[in-house]
Amino acid sequence: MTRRPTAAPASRRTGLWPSLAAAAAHGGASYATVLTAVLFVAQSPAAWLPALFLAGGLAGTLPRAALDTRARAGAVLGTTVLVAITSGCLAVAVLGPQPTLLAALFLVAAVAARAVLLPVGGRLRHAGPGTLATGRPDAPLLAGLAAAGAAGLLVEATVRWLGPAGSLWVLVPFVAVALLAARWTARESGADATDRVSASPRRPSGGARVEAPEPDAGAAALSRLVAASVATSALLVAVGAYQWYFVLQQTFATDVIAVASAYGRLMAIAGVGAVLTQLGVGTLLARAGPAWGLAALPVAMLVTAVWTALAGARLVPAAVLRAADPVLHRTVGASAVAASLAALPPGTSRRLRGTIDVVGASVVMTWGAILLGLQAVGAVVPLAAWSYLLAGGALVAIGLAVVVSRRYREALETSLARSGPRRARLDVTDDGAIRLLADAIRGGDAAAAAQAVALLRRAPYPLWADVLEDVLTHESAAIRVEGLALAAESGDARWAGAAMRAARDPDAAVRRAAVAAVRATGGVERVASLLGSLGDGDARVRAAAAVAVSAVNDADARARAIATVRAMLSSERPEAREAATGALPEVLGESHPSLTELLAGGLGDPDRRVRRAALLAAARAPDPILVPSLEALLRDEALRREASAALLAHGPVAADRLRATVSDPSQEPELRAASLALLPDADPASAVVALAAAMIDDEGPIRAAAYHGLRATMTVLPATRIDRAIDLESRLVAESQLRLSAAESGGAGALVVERLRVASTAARLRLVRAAALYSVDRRTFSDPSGAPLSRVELELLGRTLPSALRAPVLTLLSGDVPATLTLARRRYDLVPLELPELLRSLVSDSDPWARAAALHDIGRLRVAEAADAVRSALAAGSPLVRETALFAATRVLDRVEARAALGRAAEADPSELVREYAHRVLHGAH
Amino acid sequence: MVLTTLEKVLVLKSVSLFRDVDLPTLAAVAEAADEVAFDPGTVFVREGDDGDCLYVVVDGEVSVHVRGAGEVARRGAGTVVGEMAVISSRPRSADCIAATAVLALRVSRAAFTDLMARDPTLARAVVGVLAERLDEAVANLRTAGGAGASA
Repeated sequence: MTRRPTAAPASRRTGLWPSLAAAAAHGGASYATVLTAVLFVAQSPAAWLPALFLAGGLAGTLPRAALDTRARAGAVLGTTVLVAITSGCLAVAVLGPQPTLLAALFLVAAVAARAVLLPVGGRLRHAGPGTLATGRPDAPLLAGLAAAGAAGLLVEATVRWLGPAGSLWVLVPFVAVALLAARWTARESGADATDRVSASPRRPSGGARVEAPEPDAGAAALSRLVAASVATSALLVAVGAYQWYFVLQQTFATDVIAVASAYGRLMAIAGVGAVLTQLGVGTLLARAGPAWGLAALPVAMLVTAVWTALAGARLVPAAVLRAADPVLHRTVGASAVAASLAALPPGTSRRLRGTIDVVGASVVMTWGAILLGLQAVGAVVPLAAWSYLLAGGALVAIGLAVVVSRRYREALETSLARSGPRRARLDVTDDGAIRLLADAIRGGDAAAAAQAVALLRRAPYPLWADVLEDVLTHESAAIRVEGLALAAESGDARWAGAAMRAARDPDAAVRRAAVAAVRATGGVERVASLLGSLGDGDARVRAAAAVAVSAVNDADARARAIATVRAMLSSERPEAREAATGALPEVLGESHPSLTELLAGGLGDPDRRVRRAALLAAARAPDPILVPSLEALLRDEALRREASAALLAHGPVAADRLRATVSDPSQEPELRAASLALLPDADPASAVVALAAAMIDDEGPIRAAAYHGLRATMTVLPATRIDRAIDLESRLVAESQLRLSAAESGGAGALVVERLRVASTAARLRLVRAAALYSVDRRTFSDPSGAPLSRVELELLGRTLPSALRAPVLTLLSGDVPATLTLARRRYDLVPLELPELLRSLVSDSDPWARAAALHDIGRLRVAEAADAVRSALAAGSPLVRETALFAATRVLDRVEARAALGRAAEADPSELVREYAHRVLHGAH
Repeated sequence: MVLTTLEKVLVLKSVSLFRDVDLPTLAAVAEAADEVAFDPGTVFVREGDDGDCLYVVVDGEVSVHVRGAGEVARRGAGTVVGEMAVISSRPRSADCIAATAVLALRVSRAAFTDLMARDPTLARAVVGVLAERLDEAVANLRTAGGAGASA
């Protein structure tokens, strides 16, 4: 079975930042909703806010573009609990604090809310965490509620038996279980990651792996960990609901504000601990791998628990702490239980087991951070204003989530455009998962069915063979098309009959897919039966049929296919010509004498769609004769991508043509720029030379293309080569003692600035000296070594340039230097920098060698305008700079001032080097 | 004339022996190097003496004499003299006489060997200098042989 690499569906794009943003939005909105619900019960002035917060919570937890399917499913579940909590609080407001009735109402509201909200995530049913294998969308919620309840009861019993302090011991079994579970799941996930990295790109169908391993398995695993943690926030919200139930039950009647404040403080304290421990766990995850990170998680949780208990005891009033004490213990205990329980449910998918251990990390962290801020604000801001701040915070979180989502999507699209679709992997290896997908396909919901079919594509073929019949007969034409594509990919002859039936489908897209499927699954006699499709009313069906028929070793059938395509080419309808042009390479065959002629005709077609089809066809059937026509289409921005791809398919022939165009000033600038932009892909080795030369082209678009090309070439050429090209650019400008103006620098300015920032000390010193040297008459000046300047110049050239770059560099730098300077000044729109100004600016350079070199030249050339800079340098931190500043002082300051400076240095300079120099100058030649 | 550290570094950098040594290392050598000035005719290196230092000629010309053979070489600015004895730890093999007023940097054997230990590029450069000196000696021998034969 052949399988094309497919782009991951948008719904499965999991990223670290979107997940974190979702966690922030979710956590912030959740807390805001709960707290204001309590305030509502307390009849505060902010009584009208819960509805707003509830809406904010819903919006904040469902930024569709930001979340992947698993996170979204978790958010739906979390929102379910929020609705339940709010409903319960409203019930208390109406009915009063009646614990039994409240508990009953709470459960009823939770069930009702789930029933209402789950259809919202209906299309997610088969992609949510744990649902693929268990078939229970609400399994995490139920497990969380059960865990919280069990933990609460156990803590209650322990408190009664051992007292509040002794009840901490209840953590021990939880931590032990969590530790064992984490180690087990860490081993699972570690082995999983190892498998992914080491797996062969393609395994025989029926194996567990379907797709090639992701190259960045570690980052992907970490992203999934974070995404899973967002999903498990549903568990934490469930725990929180349970805690609030006790808070309301025990202290509502006495001091709800105090308890709310205490609870907030406790959460803040726990949040600090969570932040610190999470940083440690995160570092461990990143550096030592998921196995160690996950194994350390229970320890981190224990540290957080102890910190919370100790700090809480000191910072929270004793009376309130007593009231909140069970809450504290349940928080810690239930979290530990959740950590272990989440890993344990039998039937949970392997992926979930491997990742879900990061329990609530991001949520707790977010809550802690938010609460710390709110506590600080709460000390000075009235309660009502606090509520408004919460609302603002929730809205900001939502806005951030949207912004981060958009940026992430842009980055992802850029990445996809650059590296091609990434292959993803799905562990759909058990019948239960396939049955769930089949249910979704049969369910009649087109969106859910599309999602399910997309998931099917990731599984090995025989596993979903039984489901394919349902896909092929689905009421949605789009699903049927997908099914036919699946049938074609399977190559299984059993689907040939269904494909032939589909060839008579009323929908043209289905008929097209059917033709391809018949070809892939049928065999000679069935393909021959497709001859009827050559007369289909839809042009694209006819073209597809022609392609299918041409693949058969039947001269008559092929002749009919060719005749069909030729007839379509002469059609007045552009779509017919487009379909026929796209089918030409397959129908005629690459050796057909008319192919090039017909493709050339397509490239010159008045309709852009036909030209695009011809470009795509030319990429599949390269012919040097087509290269000029292909290059001409680079002018059309809408077709540039296709034209580029077609040219690249022509290899060295196209590269030669592109180089010729780039160096031909009579060509249009746009065409030259487009050719230059394409050259690095066509021939990276020679492109650098052309790009370096183009950096000083007269035309701005070409300089810009050269700049971008040089940057792009960094990815395919050794860094040293491009670095040298940039160094060349820096030297050109530095040696010309010219400063780039901000505007119209054509990209060269950015390169120079970039280079100067990262240049080594030696390179910068060279630049500084070169700039200063060129400031005097080069015919009479020689550097201290006695070497003539031209020799220095040649030496630098010899040391820095690879042979491929010498030609353009020598063109620029050797020979008539004034002419080179004039050229550079004109092409870069440069502003000459006067020597004093240049040296003064260099004296403030961050590099002490550069400063010393500048000071040395100030003294040697007696640049009196730089006297102030010399005075400043006398107090520099570097002894090398101070010593050279003394040298400069003796040359540019008046004698009295210079001797005073020398005297001070000889007496009191902290450096022996400087003292000795000053002393020798005072008593020596000066 | 009093040289700054930067000037000493630039002088050292101009000598082939030190060309590839990095700037911070050269700065350390420059700090340890003494400036010395010799009047014309001064013999500052004597054949047979212990080679405890080498000289980098900053300005002027130095005549290298071997007893019995006369002047065998002349060294100008940017060259090194006295390095053979430092490298080989053997007595000086020639006299060095200031042919003009000479300004030089005196680098002690301790500083030089310490630098060699720190910077392998210097060791490679030393090998190059030794090879040059060998070529020079062979050329001198050939010249002397040719002169003897013609005599």
